[in-house]
Amino acid sequence: MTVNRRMRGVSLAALVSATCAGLLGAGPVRAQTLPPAVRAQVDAGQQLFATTCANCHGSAGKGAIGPALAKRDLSQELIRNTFLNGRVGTPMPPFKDELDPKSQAEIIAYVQWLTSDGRLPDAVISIQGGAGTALAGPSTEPAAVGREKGIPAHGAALFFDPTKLYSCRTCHSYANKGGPIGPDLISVNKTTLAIYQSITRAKMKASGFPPIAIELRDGTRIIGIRSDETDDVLRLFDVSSLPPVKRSVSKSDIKKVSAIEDSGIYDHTALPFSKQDWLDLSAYLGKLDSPARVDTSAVAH
Amino acid sequence: MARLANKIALITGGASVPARLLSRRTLFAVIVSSILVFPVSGTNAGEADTASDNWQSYFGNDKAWSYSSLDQINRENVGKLLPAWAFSAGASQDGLSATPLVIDGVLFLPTTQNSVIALDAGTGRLVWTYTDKPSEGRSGPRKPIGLAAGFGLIFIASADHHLIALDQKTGRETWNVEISDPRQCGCGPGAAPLLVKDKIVLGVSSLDTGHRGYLDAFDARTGKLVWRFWTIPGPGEAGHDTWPEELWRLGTSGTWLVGSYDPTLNLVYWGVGNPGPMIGGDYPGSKLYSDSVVALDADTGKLKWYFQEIPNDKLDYDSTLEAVLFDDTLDGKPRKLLVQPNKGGFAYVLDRATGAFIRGYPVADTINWTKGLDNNGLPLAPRLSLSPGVEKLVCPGVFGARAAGHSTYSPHTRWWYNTSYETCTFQTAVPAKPPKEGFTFTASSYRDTRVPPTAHPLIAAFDPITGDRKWTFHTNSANVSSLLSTAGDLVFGGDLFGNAWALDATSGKKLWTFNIGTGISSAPISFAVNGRQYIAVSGGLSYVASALAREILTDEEKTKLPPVGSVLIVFALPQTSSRAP
Repeated sequence: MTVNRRMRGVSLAALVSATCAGLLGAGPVRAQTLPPAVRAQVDAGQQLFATTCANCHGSAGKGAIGPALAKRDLSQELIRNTFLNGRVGTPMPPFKDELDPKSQAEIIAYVQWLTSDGRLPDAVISIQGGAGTALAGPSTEPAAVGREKGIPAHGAALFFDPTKLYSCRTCHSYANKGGPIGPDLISVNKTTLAIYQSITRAKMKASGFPPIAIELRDGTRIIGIRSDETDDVLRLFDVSSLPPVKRSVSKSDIKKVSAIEDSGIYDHTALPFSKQDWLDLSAYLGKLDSPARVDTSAVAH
Repeated sequence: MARLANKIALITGGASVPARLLSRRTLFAVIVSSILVFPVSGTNAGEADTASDNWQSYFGNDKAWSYSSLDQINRENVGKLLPAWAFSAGASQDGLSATPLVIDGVLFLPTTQNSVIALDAGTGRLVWTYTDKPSEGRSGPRKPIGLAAGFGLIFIASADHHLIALDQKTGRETWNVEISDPRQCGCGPGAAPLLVKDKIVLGVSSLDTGHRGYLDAFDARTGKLVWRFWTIPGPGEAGHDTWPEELWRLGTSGTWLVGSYDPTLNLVYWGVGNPGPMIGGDYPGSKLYSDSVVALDADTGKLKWYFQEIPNDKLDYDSTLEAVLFDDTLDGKPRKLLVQPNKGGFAYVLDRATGAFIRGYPVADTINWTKGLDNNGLPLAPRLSLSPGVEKLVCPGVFGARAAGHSTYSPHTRWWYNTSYETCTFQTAVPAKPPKEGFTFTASSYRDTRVPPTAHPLIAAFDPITGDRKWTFHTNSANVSSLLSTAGDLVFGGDLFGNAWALDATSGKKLWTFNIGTGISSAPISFAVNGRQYIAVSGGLSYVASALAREILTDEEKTKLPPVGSVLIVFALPQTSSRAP
């Protein structure tokens, strides 16, 4: 297999063009008398933009999968808000917990430079008020689960493990990320121990997501976790496989719907987690126990 | 026979004339007016050809041919092709790059807004509409462009990474699986689901965000996941040691296009994308099964064989494009083969039973990252590598020789037709941040993807085994449409400026063109209703096509780009038969 003539030509063209581009310089700095700190911030942002934003917004913000940013005259408020909080319904993620505040400010400064067609921001941009605070993530220090210990960071890694189908996230959400079943677990106000006792029990009590059995007129029985209903259909999650399957059942086909009490519809203890895994998950999901509430008896596994 | 008779009836002006009422006069018309009468057959006029009237899967068949055996529209009459009906899909955001399905006279159109619209395929009359609830969270990167069908169900994979089964007759949702939350992984489904026996096989896409790639198979009737093939082997599995320990969990290797299936071998063939980081980086290892075509047991998802085209790819040259299955004779022996192009600009001919490499050849003219392939199909050293602080022009560029869309294979000409964008991108290595799930993972800074002055974007016809180029058609800019070939020896496609066109499959000569008013990045399909052959073209540039257009077109060319629309135009030959003797 040999390279054809045209390919060699392009290689040469590549060298020439690359050299020219280098000589001309592609940096954002323009002759403009402004505080060096503003310019430095924009320059730093350009570097970060390349690895953080350019894959979607194109080189120099010309637009690619994501919208163009260059010469759009977007307000700093819009840039800041979209960058930090993401954009619902699009692939744009929130960066508030992804980068440190310094880097965030640099990217915003660069995008403002891009969108205003090379006008530097009026002042150095700063990010304050909580952005970036979750960067550190859950604690790597052991936390009490009854008299045992669990490491919240390990629990978070298990919860969101991208390499396994049975990761908790397949069904459950934490802080707005994860699956559709049950409440967002960040809002569950239970102690680490109570969480441990709950998630290591084969039969779970459901709150707001009741297990139900549907009996159809043709005799078929469907069990699952109730999701929602419309005038015509009742929907439930079939959790007999992962990811859960949300089924729509025509109400006209239904003979009877009944609650399943004390359900063993999904047995978490069958999952290949070790006792320490459960403790780590409990440490991540639960609030720290107050000393008075520690009950060591329940931790026996 | 009844079907054949129906076709004859239509040609003679009686779309609604039942076959049994065919008169001697009608038959006489068929025989006598050979100029006005279009040949009717599929591959064999006598066989029941329901399959060829329909377009039942993304590629039209399991082999990824994108070929229609209808030949009513052919080289002689294609110049007369005119719109028969049109449909506006409404919202034009992200365009309409749909490959519709047609089953027994009903056309199913997926939209980028996660809707499926069922239309009477002969008239465009609306039958039903299904609209998924808009995503409340983050969307994956891919908008729906294709569907699968089977067991009385239509399957759509929504942008927010659900696989949804709809009742084919009513459009009512039957089951719905949330595969992953894009807010966490930045993932979405691959381009389209594929029916394989009783399963729906679906890949995963991302914006080169950190995640562990996979290919899923769901029970078509129940939605239960039957198997998942991880494209990155886990600890203890063969190939795991080809990954740095810190990388395998989030090493991307997506499966974002559509595969093929051989029922006799019971194997599913799928292309796997590049590893993370997307471009650059100093991570060692061949990183299996990135940049590979994998053959999986259709029932279990177990790996039968793999062929890695680019070990440790650092230039985003995914091997995700379609594996086209064809049979031919090699050294006097009949062989089951496949040909798969990749973004790096080469095509690979493999024995599809064993994965043995047979031959590789360039399908692009503008390649500078390697001088070619060795006898094992591996890129010759030295490969172009990026360096910090040094900008290099890399060809093919970040869109690859072809980033999406698909080729077509015609069993009639026995040639394979493929597109090359002929673009290059300036790249500079920068330090990679550690991978994080859901966020872009790359180690390069790039700018300016362009067609070099010496290059010309092209569509070419190949002998698929030897790579001999039979003809080359230079497109007016990179061709982002998929290709369709037909038994009428035509190749259909369209361009960024809205021109739908047909080429002579034997010569590459343009025979027909019609501007549909908005850019075309879709896959034309062909089908028949009541004996009349149609060509459907959807218009409205996809995000990939829009991105490419923004990068490669000159400012002047951009002024000629029509706004992104969302239309389906269905063409047919005029019904001249009323004037027939």
